[in-house]
Amino acid sequence: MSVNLLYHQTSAKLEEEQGWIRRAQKDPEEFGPLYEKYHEQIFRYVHQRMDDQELAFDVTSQVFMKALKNIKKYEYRGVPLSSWLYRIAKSELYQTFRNRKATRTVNMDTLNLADMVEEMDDEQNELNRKKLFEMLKKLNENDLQLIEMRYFEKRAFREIGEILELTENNAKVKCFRALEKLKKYFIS
Amino acid sequence: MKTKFNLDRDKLNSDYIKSKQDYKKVLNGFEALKPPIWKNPWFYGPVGLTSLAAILVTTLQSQINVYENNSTLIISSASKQSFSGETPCIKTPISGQDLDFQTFKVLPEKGLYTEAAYETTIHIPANSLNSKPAGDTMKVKIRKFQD
Repeated sequence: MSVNLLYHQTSAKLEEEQGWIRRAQKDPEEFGPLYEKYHEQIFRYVHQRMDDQELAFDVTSQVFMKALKNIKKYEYRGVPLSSWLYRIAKSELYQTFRNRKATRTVNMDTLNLADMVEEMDDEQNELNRKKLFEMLKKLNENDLQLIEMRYFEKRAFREIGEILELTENNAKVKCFRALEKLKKYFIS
Repeated sequence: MKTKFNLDRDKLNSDYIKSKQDYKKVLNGFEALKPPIWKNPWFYGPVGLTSLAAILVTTLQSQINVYENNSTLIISSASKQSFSGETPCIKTPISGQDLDFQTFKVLPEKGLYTEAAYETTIHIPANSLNSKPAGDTMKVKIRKFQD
């Protein structure tokens, strides 16, 4: 399975990012390069989970405002700043679903479904893809989130763990269990 | 929470998303998110202490004013005297116009702080009166004339 390459950065890139962060911690105006670097990623993460495009841009702005507000508390843990931003985005999203009655949306491609059917050792055909699409609706929010990040957004287990505040291993186990649950629905 | 499932939704291109970047808006929003001045911890340093002192001074001052306006009778320890039996009282300034006494019981070691008639506050500090025998209750009779 292909993996989201944006997460993997060279140590030189991470170091450059640390420089920007240190400057932003002293002066919020210096946050600009980080905003430019991560705006699209964060927007796509938010828009993946809602239909309203304008609202998604709004939520993305909110994420960066909150990031600016809390940048002084940020501590480097050897991973890109994106993991921290995704955590803020996740909490902003759920707040938006609650406060603005926005609809949570799961967006997937036929290709994603094909990958999943293949992973479930089943014949990859249109009927199975349609069935899987229907079965996904039966998953609870936590399992859906894991499947979404792993199979639709192609995130590494480590990144999933960082966003959901789990260990890499725990994220792996939980993804596996979510997939097993889906398989059960699929077979029955 | 309602969940909607979409298959093969159109993808937005990167240029369009980039065109929507607006860092100024984020900075303005960040400024708005800043807590007001009185919610800053430093406010509770010198500024906070000065404000607290000002409030205390104002409160004390207003209490002093209340005492003055209400003709507080304060018996200080300097006025301690020994009396036996009924003490001589102020004679009525206008003949024929007399007033009744108000009587208060006081435990000398506790003193007295009370409201009397005609907006008068009576304050007898603890241990400012001597009772004989010691520990006995004393009677204080008060009447006030105003011309």
